[in-house]
Amino acid sequence: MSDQSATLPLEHFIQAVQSQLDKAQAAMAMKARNLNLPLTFAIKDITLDLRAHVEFARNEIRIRPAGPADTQASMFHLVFTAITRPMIEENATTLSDDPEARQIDELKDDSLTEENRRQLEWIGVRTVDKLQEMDSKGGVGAIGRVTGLPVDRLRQALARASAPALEHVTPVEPEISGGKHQFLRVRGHNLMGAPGQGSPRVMMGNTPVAVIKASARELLLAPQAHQWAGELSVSHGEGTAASLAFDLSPFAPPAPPQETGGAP
Amino acid sequence: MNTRRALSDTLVDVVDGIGIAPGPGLRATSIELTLPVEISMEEQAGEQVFLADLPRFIYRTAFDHVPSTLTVLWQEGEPT
Repeated sequence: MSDQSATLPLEHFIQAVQSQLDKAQAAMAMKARNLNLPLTFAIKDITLDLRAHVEFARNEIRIRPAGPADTQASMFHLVFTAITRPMIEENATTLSDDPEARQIDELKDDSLTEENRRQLEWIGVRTVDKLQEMDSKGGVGAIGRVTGLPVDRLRQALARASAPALEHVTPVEPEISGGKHQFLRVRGHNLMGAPGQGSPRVMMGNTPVAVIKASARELLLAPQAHQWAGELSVSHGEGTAASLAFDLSPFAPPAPPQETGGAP
Repeated sequence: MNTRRALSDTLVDVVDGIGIAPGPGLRATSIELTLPVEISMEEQAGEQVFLADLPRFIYRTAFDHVPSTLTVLWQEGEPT
């Protein structure tokens, strides 16, 4: 890449500088260890006065180091200071989202554009759960005011985000080794409806499936012998149903023997 | 072709060049330097690398970068 050809997001630039500081620190520590020095010098503070062009595009600050002919470049003052590991962890807690949480990026539908999603991330709404949590507290209007997003569009995205979604179906291992599989575990999102809607309605084709246990992320089903393959659908109330086709028939317990008339 | 060094190489070379080996009765506990640096970004092995090197020439031409400023404070500590 030419050094003047492209701008890059400020956070990428800062990461590039941090990476260089880490490398310098590691190199000096390694040298001290190899030479068996009791003390070394560590970088404590670093200040950069950069001549650079700063642009603001699509809610993102982008930076480009000034070239030789750039006489009108801005002066960008950056100060880095060494912090301890506990300080890093303390400041990183806001980013430690639930790894299974759906990221706001997953709301790839007509209701939210990429710029809209970036605006939500900018105010700290990085996951769908966070957006739903703010909605439950009546915060959608405030999000709309802060980000400039139309409230109708946010509500449309929330309605889609609240619909059930299925990820996968797996057989539950029998409790006794060599025993028969009896249950299916379904993983997904929004598998429980809103409070008051009761348990979800689970169907295999046109026949209902018994639900042993239900939570927002998981369902435990007790299917009949013929319900170990097909199209599973989950719905609650009058809302949209999510469906998923699967085939776990190799795990199905053997069908019970059919009755043959009466005893002689 | 970009012949500038990465910031990490510049920092290590500068602190090495100062020659801060402890002598009898005298010990440096911190060093602060303010240096002019020419900066640029370069993609190496798929990642952006921040290059920051001392100006290559004393007399500047229209083809040379106007230097930015780097101030760095090193402090004595035990190697980790």
